[in-house]
Amino acid sequence: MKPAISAVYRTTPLAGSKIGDISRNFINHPLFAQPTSFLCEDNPFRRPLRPQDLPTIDLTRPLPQSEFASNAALLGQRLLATIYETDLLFLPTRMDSRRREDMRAFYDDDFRQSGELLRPTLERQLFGFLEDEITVSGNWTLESFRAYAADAVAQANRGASEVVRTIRQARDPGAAATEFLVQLASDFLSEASAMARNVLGNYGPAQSGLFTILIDEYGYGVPKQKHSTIFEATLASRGLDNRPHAYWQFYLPSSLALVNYFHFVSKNHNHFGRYVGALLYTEATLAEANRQQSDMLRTIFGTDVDTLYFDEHVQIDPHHGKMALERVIVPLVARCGNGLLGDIVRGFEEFRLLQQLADQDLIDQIKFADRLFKAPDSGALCTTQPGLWDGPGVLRFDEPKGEISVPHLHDVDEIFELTEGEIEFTVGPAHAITLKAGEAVLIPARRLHGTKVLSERCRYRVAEAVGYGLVA
Amino acid sequence: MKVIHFDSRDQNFVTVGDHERYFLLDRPGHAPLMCNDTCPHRGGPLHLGTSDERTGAVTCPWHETTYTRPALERRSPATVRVGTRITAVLDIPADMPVTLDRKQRILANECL
Ligand code: FES
Ligand SMILES: [Fe+2]
Ligand SMILES: [Fe+2]
Ligand SMILES: [Fe+2]
Repeated sequence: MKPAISAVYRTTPLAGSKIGDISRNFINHPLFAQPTSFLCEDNPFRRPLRPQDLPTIDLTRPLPQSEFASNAALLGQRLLATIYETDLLFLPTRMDSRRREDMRAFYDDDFRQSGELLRPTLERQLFGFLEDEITVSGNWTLESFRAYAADAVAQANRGASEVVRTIRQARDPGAAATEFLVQLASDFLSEASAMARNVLGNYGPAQSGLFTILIDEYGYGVPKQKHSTIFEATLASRGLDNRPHAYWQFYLPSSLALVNYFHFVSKNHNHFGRYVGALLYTEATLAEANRQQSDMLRTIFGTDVDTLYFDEHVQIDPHHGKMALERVIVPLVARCGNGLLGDIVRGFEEFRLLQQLADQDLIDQIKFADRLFKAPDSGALCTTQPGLWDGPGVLRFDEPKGEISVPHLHDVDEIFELTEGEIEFTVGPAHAITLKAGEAVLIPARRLHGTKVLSERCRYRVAEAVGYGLVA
Repeated sequence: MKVIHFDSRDQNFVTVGDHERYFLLDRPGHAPLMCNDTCPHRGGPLHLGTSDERTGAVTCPWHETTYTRPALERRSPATVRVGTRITAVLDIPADMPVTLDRKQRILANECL
């Protein structure tokens, strides 16, 4: 939501053609280039994102809600996350000359300047739909806001989480839970960084209210207590790589959207009302979500998982919910007037909607991953549908050993058939299968997948599978 | 305070007790509003009035007083729309019953 600005104060926005030039230039930066592995090990600066997709994607087109988890959204979210995170400091656990050079490039002024020019375009592309989807009107007072927030929080905290249910009911719950932890890593390993953007400046008692929440998130200056460190221990307990963005390539567009939204409303302080609304929603609902997640992890992994991250939030977030309301929102409204409540309600609802959309995206991905073991059966389809490989839309690839296709997604169902060699087909760190010549896999629309060539040489072909009435 | 929820495709009118009525004022270019239906002048039904699409102002059908959009907002309950789901906070006790219905026509929503 762009605040109304009177004509004299308005700055002429960049022309669309300029944006095109900047994005082409930005996206061809080596930090985004082709990787040699699905894992970005100990290098938070490397952000592979398939620059080759850019010609088919118009970043200046705001995506409707129905395209929230599309390939265009994935590219936009990857770019935007990179741009925001050039404001944060990351250091590899081990520095060497290659990482030092990548670090210099990541924080380079010219790189950051292009990113900053792109940022508002990407924010409109990715979050513009929220303005169509959500409207706020009427006479908001602190009293009506309290009633509304209490009602919404009670609603959110009722019943079992669908994500948790999906993981528990998976064929392989351990693998499903692993994919879940990997998605959380996008956010939790730099937890509350967006919050920290909001504690600088001078804005009265609310600033101190927010600061007290931040102190908890950052563990009172004790490394072991810092929430991101506690999550590192969770990942380590499952043998997962706990260095920031090791799993960058596997983040779903919706997982990145949750992280990016908080940066979006924190980077530009015209949105501070939305920020505190979203903060209230997340702090007031996270305790119950984490309670269910902690239970789930312990049921699945027994004592072989460190759930302290989740248990800590069960303890502290009810406090944070209260603090966000009484010590942040109440003093802000006292200072700015009831007009601010419109923005606060907007942020509250925006984050709630994003969370719902992200839950659905994750559920769909986990279900797809969980069925992957059946995937080679799709080969039968290729023999029963002889016309499948005749159409003009069939794409053929010939790739050398080690070639990686960075995880991505398509907006329609596709069938992928290996005609020569061997390939690893991966839809998440815990879900990969090896396909041999003659085997095929159906990739449902919007499901993240990547490949790595295992044989000296490999050929495969891809066709749209719309209209075949298939379920993978 | 009482929080109500409904789908704007199914319902557009709320009645509280004998006197209080609210209708869903929904004009293009303006956020949907749970508009207080009772004209402050002599109680005329604003939902049967006319509205100005550009300004969002509503004119009462009885003595043709026009209420600006900000004036309407001030006397209407806090409202949020997410998609077609409407949430409104009414300034009445939480246990007070309200009736939700669908009026065939909200004249104030018809284009002028
Ligand atoms: S009752 Fe509405 S103008 Fe008189
Ligand atoms: Fe936290
Ligand atoms: Fe918290
Ligand atoms: Fe693909």
